[in-house]
Amino acid sequence: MKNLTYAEALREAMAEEMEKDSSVFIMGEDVGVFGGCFGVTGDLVQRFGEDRVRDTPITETAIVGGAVGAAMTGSRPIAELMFASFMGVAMDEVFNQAAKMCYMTGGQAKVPMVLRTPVGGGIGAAAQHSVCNESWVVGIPGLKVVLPSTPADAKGLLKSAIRDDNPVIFFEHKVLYETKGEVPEEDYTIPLGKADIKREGDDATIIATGMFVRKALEAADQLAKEGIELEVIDPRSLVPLDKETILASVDKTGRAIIATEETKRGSFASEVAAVISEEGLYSLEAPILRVCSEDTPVPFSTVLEQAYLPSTEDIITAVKSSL
Amino acid sequence: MAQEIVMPKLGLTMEKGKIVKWYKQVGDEIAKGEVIFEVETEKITNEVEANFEGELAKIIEEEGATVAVTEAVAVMAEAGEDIEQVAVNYSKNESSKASKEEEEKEEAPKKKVKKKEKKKRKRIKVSPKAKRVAKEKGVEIEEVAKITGGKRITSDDIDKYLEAQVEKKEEETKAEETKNKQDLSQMRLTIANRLAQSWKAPHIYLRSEVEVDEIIRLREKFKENQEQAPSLTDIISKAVITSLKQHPNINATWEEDNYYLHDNINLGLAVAVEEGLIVPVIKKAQRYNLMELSNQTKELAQKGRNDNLDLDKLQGGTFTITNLGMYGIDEFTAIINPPQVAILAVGTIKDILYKNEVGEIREKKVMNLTLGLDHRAIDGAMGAEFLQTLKSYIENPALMI
Repeated sequence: MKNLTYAEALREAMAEEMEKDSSVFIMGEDVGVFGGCFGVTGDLVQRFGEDRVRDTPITETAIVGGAVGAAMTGSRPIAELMFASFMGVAMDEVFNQAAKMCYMTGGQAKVPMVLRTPVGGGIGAAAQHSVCNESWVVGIPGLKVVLPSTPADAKGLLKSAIRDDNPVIFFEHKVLYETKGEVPEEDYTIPLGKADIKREGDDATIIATGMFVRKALEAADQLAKEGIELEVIDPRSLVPLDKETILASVDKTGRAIIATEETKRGSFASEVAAVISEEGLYSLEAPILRVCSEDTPVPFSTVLEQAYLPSTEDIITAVKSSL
Repeated sequence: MAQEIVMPKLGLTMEKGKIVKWYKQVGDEIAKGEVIFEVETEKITNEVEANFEGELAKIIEEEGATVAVTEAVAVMAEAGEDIEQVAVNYSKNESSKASKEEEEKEEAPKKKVKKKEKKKRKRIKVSPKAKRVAKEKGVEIEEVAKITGGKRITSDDIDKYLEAQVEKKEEETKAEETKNKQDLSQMRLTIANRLAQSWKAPHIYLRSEVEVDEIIRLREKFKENQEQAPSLTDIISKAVITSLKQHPNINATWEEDNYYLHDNINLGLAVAVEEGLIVPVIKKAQRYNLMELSNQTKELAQKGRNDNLDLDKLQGGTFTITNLGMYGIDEFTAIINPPQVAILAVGTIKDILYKNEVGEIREKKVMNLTLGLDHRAIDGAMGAEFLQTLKSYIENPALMI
């Protein structure tokens, strides 16, 4: 095991896949010499050259569109959008091109691309740089969607995403970039579509993603002191979703709380809630609860931003109301 | 009572369902759990099972009809009900209800709101899991709610309820292990009631030891000379009858503060039967000689044991003899069979040694007679005189002739 940051783990995943497969390359704003806005690509341009770590103009449409074309013609591009908030610019490429090409060509064309992009607030980056827009893409058939919460998951999932023949939207949480964690020394991947039980417990199930996995684990630590044992499940890949693990856990505990940083309305959290109510209603002892951000743009003021984001305390309150 | 079969709500979002197929027809007997019809919603097709048994009386909504959830689709009659009548009544009720409802709608919308609120308050909150578990384990939610009060019922509550039920049952079984409730026959209940009533009468008891060597000898003589011989009980009966003739105040009844003497001696003989005790009565027993009396007794006892006696043969007694001698009972006190005023309890025969007039030790056979008397009618002296007479006849049966 080695101790890496989330950003380092991602970089390692890309480097390993680029060494293994010459069709893998990176493109995005400032991914080359600058090393990425959040330093994820780092020194990769020195190691693999400017052909394989390409700086692009400031045009999300071209970045994603170029990646779709490259993927359809035999490459395995890793495209990076500086902020997930900018995905709106490239949405036609995401929604109409990347997601549908395989289907519309009857499988003749594949789009084996990864679109990496950071989500999330908490760093005072304001309304246009802080969104958690998982729900934009979770509802699009033809895309896979990933959001890792630990360095080890980040590496293993990114490698699977690169090897996958479908377009994968790979969300990263900005606040997590500098967090450290144990990462296996050996070569490994983590399959898409397999949730991870981050903590076992019998009293309530928390399904949390990204940054909120950490908050859920903090809540679990505090509740354990009161004798309440939470089971914390990180789906890791939002599409495909590991329903089986979630439903089994809810069946065990009888209580489901979904904690994500998205604004609540129409969120991925809502989708999980719908799955549980459809397929696991008779496992439930209490209403399903969602702990999500307020349905407002992300405030710039740090004080307001903290009020906007659910806290560990909010998760604890939700759990207690469910018991 | 006839009951409606309604369109079930098969999903949270289901508002109406289409009846695809009726599996049952009017007149069909339907068991609980049998599939009655098939419903199609936007999502699924489902078979609907009967929640209760009965006979299908009326199909309100035919195949192809789309029906809102909880609306009636059919009417089921209970076993024994005339389904045609049920169907007609249902139609009548519905039309009158409909017009009534329309009136109400126009007249008093406020009233209706109130009703709804009332209904809401009664609702029991149950978690979906608890609901499922309750169904699986056959638990009535209403029963669980009695324990949990107003709070939402969880599956834990169901488990607790079941545990409590098991404990309760165990306790009950424990109690049952030491105490087994018996089904009582009508006869037993009659005995219980009559004797409890009789016990209100103030009883006195007189006991006398009588020598029975003579009646035993008499019996031996019968045996030597003819095929059938009277039993000792028969001979005692004959002695009782003869004595009663001399003491008519004992051959009597006490009925609601009235004292009746009877011309006929109707002799009751207590007979143990499987279910308890019966007392067949030999009517006008004074008419019979010893052998006739013996035959009458045998016949009655046999009929009694075979449960073959007319009520008439069990009523109207004026005096009763009860004998537990065959069980080795030395003596016992019997409860008077009301409204009679006396009962003779006969004990077992025993050998005893005694000193005769000249001081020699001799052996003789004796038995105890215990006369029970209703003191309201008979005083001790009257009873004693009767017992004395009886004793003399038993000890010297020849005197009866």
